[in-house]
Amino acid sequence: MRINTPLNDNDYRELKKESKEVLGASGYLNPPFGQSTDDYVEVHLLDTDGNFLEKFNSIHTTFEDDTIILNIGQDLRDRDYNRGEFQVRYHFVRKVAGGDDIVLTKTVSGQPNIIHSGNPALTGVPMGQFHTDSEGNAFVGENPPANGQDAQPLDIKEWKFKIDEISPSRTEVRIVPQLINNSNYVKEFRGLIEPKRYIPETAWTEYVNSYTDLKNAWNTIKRDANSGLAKWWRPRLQFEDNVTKKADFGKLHWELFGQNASNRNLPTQDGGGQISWTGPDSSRLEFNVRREVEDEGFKDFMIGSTITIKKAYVVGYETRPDTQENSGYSAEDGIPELYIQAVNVPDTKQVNFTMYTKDGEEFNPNTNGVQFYWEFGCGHIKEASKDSTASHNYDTEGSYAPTVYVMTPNFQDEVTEIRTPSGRVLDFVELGESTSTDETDTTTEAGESQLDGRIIKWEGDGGTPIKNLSGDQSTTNTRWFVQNGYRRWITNGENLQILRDALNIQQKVNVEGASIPGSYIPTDIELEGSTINSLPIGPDLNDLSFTQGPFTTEQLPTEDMGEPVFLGFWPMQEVEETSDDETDGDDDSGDDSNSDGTEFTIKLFNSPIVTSGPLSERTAGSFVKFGNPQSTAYENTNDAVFLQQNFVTSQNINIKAKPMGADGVNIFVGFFDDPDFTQPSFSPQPDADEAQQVFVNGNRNFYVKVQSDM
Amino acid sequence: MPLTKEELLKSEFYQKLKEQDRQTYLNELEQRRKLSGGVVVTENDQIIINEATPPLRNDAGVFIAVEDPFEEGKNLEEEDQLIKISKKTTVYSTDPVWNDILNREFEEL
Repeated sequence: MRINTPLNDNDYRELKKESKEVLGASGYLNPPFGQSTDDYVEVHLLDTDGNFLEKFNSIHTTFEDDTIILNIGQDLRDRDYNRGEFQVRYHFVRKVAGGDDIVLTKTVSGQPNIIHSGNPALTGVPMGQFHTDSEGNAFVGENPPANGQDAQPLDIKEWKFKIDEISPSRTEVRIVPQLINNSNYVKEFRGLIEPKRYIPETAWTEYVNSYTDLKNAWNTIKRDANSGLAKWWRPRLQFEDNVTKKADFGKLHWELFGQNASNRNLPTQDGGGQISWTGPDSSRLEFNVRREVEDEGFKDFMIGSTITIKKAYVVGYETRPDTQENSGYSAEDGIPELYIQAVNVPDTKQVNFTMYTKDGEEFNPNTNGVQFYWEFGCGHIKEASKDSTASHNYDTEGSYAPTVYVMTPNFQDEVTEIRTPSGRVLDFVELGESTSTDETDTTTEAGESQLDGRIIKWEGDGGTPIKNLSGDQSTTNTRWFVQNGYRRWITNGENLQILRDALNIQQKVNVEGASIPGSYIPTDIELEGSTINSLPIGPDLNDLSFTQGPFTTEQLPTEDMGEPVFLGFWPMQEVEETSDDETDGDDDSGDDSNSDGTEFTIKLFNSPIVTSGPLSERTAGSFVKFGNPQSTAYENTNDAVFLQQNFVTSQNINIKAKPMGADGVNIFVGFFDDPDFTQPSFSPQPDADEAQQVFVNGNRNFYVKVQSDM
Repeated sequence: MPLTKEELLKSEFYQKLKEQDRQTYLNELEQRRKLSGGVVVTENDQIIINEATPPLRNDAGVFIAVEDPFEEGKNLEEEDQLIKISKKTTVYSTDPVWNDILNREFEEL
């Protein structure tokens, strides 16, 4: 139940605390009611109509723990109210100033309102003798003057302050002191509004010591009881030899005079001390050196007050930054070049999307710091999340251009490039009968070149020709087969020989009938790099090309073979159809496998450890691993001669290698197509531990060479 | 013939009348206590004081202070003659919020 207060409901709800407390447990109301000698309970008695009858103090109200116990019946019977119905109001009052004591004042030397008699504990002056006449008037002296003179009259006053004015709303009062010329009285009045100051007891001695006149005065008061000074101070000090201290004099002097004198200052310290914060993030001060034991120190009523520390000096400090260096911090890398890999789920309108880097690695940071916002090109979106993949069911068939916004704290990128798993760039994701997200290109015409059916090679000038669809650099050892106006890189020496045999290319012989190495009839045609680059690149001619790929004697089913960047992939079914009747090879199957599910194997051979023979032929061990899409751990020469993975689908994969041994001791040379390291697989070769992307669509071996420093 | 107080105290008739009134008073008190829950009557018709004795009140909720029937001018010393109030009370937030909520400036004086 809410206690009735002047607060309106709104203010009450805003200001009230949740739990109830005993008032005065600490702070300026301390101690709790009932524990101070200034506390009293005032009973207001009213009749049943609310008319005020009288007020009196309750002497039967008791306090137990946190409970106030009212004995109303006894309070009233004490006032002779034995029968009847009454209203009673109990007021719990703490006196903060004034009292019921009576003082008598007089005029001395024209100065009125000087205390003549009263409680010395209140007035600070000894009681003077007085007498009263029959009318209750008070006069100076124990008895009337014997000589018939008039006695000096005294005024009778209460040690109280007056309510001078009450506001019309009766919520404000103006209180004024009476005309009583007494410093204690004035001080008590001031205490109503002035902050209560806590001055350590030991400070009063310092106060006397800091002024020569005070020191001399104290010596006089202490030693010469008959001096005028002692006669004035001793009563006020209630002086007792060996009991009254210099501090007592200092305190009384300050209260009577010092605090009002401009040339007197209150001592503020006791030999100094140390104050420090209790912690780097703390707002609490700690006093490391306490004052003398006679100082009572802080008390409960001071809780919530303000402490003022004068003449405080910083004697040392330590700067503690509020931030700490993150040793693991590194500047954020930019967003790598990305593309969207799109995979159509057969017989549905669902397309699965995955983010890839241009290096062929799946881009999946899986951290909230990298967000992906998907727009599927049909009006649907996927809100930003850390998910680098998405799957979307399109409502209708058609062409869609999805976009992904990649956002990091410092970077943002819009990714629109779409690719199939095999790397073909798409303008749109096609959904429908005649289109596919995958690698089926349709052609109606084949290209044509005068070099068709011939093997060509680079003569070493005119710029380095691009070797294959992966964009690798070629060497003078690189051979291409020209077919339907396209050049197809012959992936290794073995395939080159198979092709020569298939085309019935004979090795030249000298006059003695011995074969001339590297010379054939018809010869490989040497061309400038620029000439070679003018021929569009066809699919690699690897060992599967003779059995599964676009056969060397067949028309290539390309409609847009004018694009020198990509030819596409030819499923077995397509090749067979074109092989049979040389017609177009429309294929909307969406199948991007290199065959109808025929598995092929990629092997990565570790560099053998060869420690004998010519220095140039000595090799050191290596580590090899597969990267995207089926990542493996590194295996070294000692543990595995080679690593292998099986694939069904033609695709780009990543492979890596690095030398065994301490850094910089052995030199990684690169990948080769043959164990004798004569046919480099890549030009330029990747660095050690650098991902090398390669398109694979059939069995293939990569031989790693690490040159030994021995 | 009127009797003095001393004579009354010696009068057997007066003493019986006084005792009869006292008994009536106590019966009435007991009845009120039963109604207010201040006493509990057991199965054996024993009357025991309720430990959590509430102050004695009439039907209108008015507190009833009962005089000790054996001592004039003295209130009965029983638990139901006392009113107990918890010292714990609602407390309010002060600095600095109350200056934002209340107008604490003097306006009239």
